[in-house]
Amino acid sequence: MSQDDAAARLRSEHGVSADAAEASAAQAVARAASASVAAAADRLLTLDETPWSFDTLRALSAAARPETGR
Amino acid sequence: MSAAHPLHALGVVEAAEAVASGAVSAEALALTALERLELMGPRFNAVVALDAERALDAARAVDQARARGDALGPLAGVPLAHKDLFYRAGRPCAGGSLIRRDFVPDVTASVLERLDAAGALDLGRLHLAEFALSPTGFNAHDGHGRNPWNLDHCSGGSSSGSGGAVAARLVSGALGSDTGGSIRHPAAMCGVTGLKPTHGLVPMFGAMPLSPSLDTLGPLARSARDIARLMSVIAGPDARDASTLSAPVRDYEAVLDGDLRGVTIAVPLGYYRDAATPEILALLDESLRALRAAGARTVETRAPDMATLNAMMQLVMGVEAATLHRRWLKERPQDYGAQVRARILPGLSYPAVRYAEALMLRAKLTQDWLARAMADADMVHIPTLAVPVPTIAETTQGDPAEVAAAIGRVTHCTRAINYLGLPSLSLPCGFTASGLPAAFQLVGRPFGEGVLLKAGEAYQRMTDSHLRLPPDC
Repeated sequence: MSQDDAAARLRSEHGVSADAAEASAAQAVARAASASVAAAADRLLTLDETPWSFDTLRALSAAARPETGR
Repeated sequence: MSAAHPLHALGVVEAAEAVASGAVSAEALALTALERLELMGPRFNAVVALDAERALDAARAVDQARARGDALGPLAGVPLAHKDLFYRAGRPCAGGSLIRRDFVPDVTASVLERLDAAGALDLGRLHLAEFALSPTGFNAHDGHGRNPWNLDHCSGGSSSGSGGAVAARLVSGALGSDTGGSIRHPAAMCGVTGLKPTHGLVPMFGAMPLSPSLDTLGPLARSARDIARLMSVIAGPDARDASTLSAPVRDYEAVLDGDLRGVTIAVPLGYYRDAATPEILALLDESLRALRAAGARTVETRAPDMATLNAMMQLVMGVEAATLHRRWLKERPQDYGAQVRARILPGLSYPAVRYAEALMLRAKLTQDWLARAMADADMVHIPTLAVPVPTIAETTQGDPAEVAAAIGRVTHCTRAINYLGLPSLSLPCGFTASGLPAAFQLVGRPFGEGVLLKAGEAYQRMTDSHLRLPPDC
C-alpha cells in the first residue's frame, strides 16, 4: 500500500486525516505487530481453549494463598 | 518533630503515626507539603494545580477528630497528591491534554473516595504525559517532567509528577496509573518505590482510561511499607468496576516481617538481563545478594518469547486507545502532540480478528510466562529499566530512529507485564555512574502483591537507596 493509500484509508474508514508519511508509518507499525500476533494465533489458538479466559485465571488466583498468591 | 525528622521527610506510615500520636498536626503536615509543592514543584514540573483550601479543611477535620478522641483512619493526615487523571467531582481533570483542559468531572474516583475515607489529604493534581501516553514524561503541552536527581534527565512517565513529587519529598505518596509501565518508569527513574497491581485489584472507576484491558492504578511512595499501607486502603472489589469483583481484600502490612526464608525468587536469563548494561547488571546482582541475605532462595530460569508478548500488548493498547480517541483524532487532530498521535494512529489499522486473538491468547500466554520465567518460584526478579536513566534530549531530539530506540529501551522490561496482567513492584537499588537511580522489579502471580511487598520491605530493611534524597531536597 502506498503512503497516499494509507492516508486515504484512514480518512475513509475512520474519518481521520493524517499526512501520507504519518499514515504510512502507522500502517507499518500495525503490520509488524499484526504479523506477530497472527503467527502466535496460528500456533496456539484452538477452539476448545477460548473459553479459558484471563478473567477466569484471575478469579482462580484470587482464592489462592495470601502469602504467595499461588 | 526533631530537626533530624523534618515534617517533609515523613513517609506515609510515619506521617500517619505522627498524627495519630499527636506528635504533629495534620494541618502542619498539609501546610509544609503545600509550601514545598508550590516552591519546589515547578523545578521538576511536577505540579498541575494545588487544591489547598480543600486539603486544609480536610486536615483540620482530622485534627478535630483526634481532639475529640475519635478513631482515625489508617492514612489520617497523610499528605498525598495524585496524577491528574483521577476524577474528583467539581475539580478540573485535564489528563495532561489540551483537549480535556476544561473538563470537570461530576464523579469522584473510587480510589480517591477510599483515600478520603481513610483520612488522607489530597493536596492537588500532578503532571503526567499527555493522555498518559509517554514512558519518559514527555508532554508537548505542559513541558517535560524533570528528574529531581538531575533536571536534564527524564522523570519517567507517564506518572511523571507522582515520581518527582515523592522523590523530592514534596508529598509522602502519590497515585499513578500503569498501562505499559507508567508507575514503574517514574518510580525507577526517580528512585522511589512503585507498585503496578494485578489487573482488576484496584478499581478504575473515575480514572481516565487509556486501554481498559491493560490499565491499572497504584501507589508510588518511599518504601514498600508505605505502599502496603496505601494498597490496604485502595484495593478490593468495587461494584462500579466489574473487573475487580474477584479481587481479594487484604492487610498488606500484616505480612511484612523481614523474613524471606521459604521465599523463592526466579531470575530469568535471556531477554531482560541481556538488555542490561554492565553497571545495571552489577546493581541487580547486588540486590539479589541482599534478598538472599534476608533468607530468600534464588533460582535461574529463562524468559519466553518476549517479542510475541510485546506485540500483543502493543496491539491491544493501540486498538483500545484508538477506539477511545478516534472522535478527537477526527475533530481535533491539531490538539495532540506528534509523539502521542504516532502512538495512537496504528490502532486504527489493526484487523478486528487480530485484536480478538490477542485477548483470547492472554490467559494461555500468561500461564506460559509464569511456567517458564517463574517456574516454581514465588516471584521473578528483573530490571525495571535495563539502561541508565536517559536524558530528555536523548528521547526528544535528533534522528527519529535513535529517539524511538531510546524510548523503546525504557519500556523493554515493563510493557509485556501489563498484557500478562501481573503485579510488579519496582524498588530502587542504587545509582549508576551518572548519579541517577537504578531499580529492579519483583513480578508476582495474579494477586500476589502480599509476597512482593514482603520481599520489598525485607530488602529495604537491609539497604538505603529508598532513603536517599535528591540534591537540594
